[in-house]
Amino acid sequence: MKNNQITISPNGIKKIVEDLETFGQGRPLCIAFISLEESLNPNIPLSLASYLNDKEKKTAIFDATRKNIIIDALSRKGAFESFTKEEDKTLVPFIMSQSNGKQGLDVSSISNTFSGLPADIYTSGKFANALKEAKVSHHFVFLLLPSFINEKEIVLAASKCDGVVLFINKEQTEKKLVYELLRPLSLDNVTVISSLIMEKKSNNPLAWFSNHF
Amino acid sequence: MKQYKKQLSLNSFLSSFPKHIFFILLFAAIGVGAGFAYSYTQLKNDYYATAKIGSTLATDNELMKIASFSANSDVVVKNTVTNLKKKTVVNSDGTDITFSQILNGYKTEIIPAEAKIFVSFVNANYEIVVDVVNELAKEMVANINNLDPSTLNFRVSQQATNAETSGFVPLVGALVGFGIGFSFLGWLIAAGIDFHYDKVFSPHDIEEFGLNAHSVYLVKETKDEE
Repeated sequence: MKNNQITISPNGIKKIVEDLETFGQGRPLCIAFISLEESLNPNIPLSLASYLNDKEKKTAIFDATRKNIIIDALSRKGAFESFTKEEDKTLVPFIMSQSNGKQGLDVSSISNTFSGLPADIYTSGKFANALKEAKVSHHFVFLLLPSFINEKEIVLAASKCDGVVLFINKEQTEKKLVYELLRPLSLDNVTVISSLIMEKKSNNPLAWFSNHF
Repeated sequence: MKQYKKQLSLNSFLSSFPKHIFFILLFAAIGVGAGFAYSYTQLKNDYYATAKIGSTLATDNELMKIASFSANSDVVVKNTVTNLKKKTVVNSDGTDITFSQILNGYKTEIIPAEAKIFVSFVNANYEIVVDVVNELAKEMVANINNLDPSTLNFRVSQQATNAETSGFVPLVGALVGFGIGFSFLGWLIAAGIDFHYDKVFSPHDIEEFGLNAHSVYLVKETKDEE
């Protein structure tokens, strides 16, 4: 059965990974993913995790938007389906590979990581510990931040990571918005490792027409 | 980190042209429409009438040229003015028809195949054009035949009976001028909107904040589900 997912082009995935590897120099990294206009499509970090998996790098994804955790994320059967379940508002850990059960995170210890208000979650020791713990057993930990939280909450969460990756929608995101996010991040010494300007590619001539209007 | 400041640069202005090409073309089309409207306001309700003069004897092309030269003399126009005055043919505002009015409004054209000279007169006064052109044709015939009546024997072969309008012809200058003017206005508006919203279009737009930026495409990836 065929399934279509929106993700970043392979070239884009390669660029992010290059930036992450250059920044990390082989050490485990926790990266906050911040999308400025709308919540990031979960297929993007999953594709990234899948690419890293091919390079034998393990990835854990904490999705603060859907309050899910994917451990050793692989874009395999059921992963997208379970991960993108809109009705699933509770914290449900998904163990995506057999090896996780033995060597991965202790799921029960982080099962209530995302309970409470965003500001309370991000300032809690539980949250920082969950990320730290994930870093021990994974090469990369992706923290997907929801777009509806405010700048302060973004900075609070991002400061628990080693750096952030910004996702910007071409021709939609205002430069001012980027600056307003970068200012508090730089004040808190949060490094922006990579920033991606995402453009929708379409073969539809009408889309091309509207892009040039 | 560099402070955020809106900047209007020549580069951003120029790059907005291909970005908003259809918006600019839309304005160009509106401009051409405005050019048509302007042309219409400049429309002069001119009327014209044509009479034909010819001779069965003068089929030779050289003779036709001589005849045409003779027909275009000042004497013809002068006599026409005098004759119209006698006939009390006047402009619609009651003024006499003048020498320059006729000189500027008439033209002759040789049609060699028919051995004829077409005489036409254009003027805004609908009432006078037929009378003027017929009087002109009569005077031309007289003037030509004076050269050599035995050989030429010209006559008015067809008198003008009614005046027709010249019709609406759009002014090319107005179409081009308004088209270019409006497209430039569209370009300015597009660049102004870009400046107002100041959105991110390329990595260059945010690199000034010290960001390591890349431009990437979002694609549809088809996966086989097991």
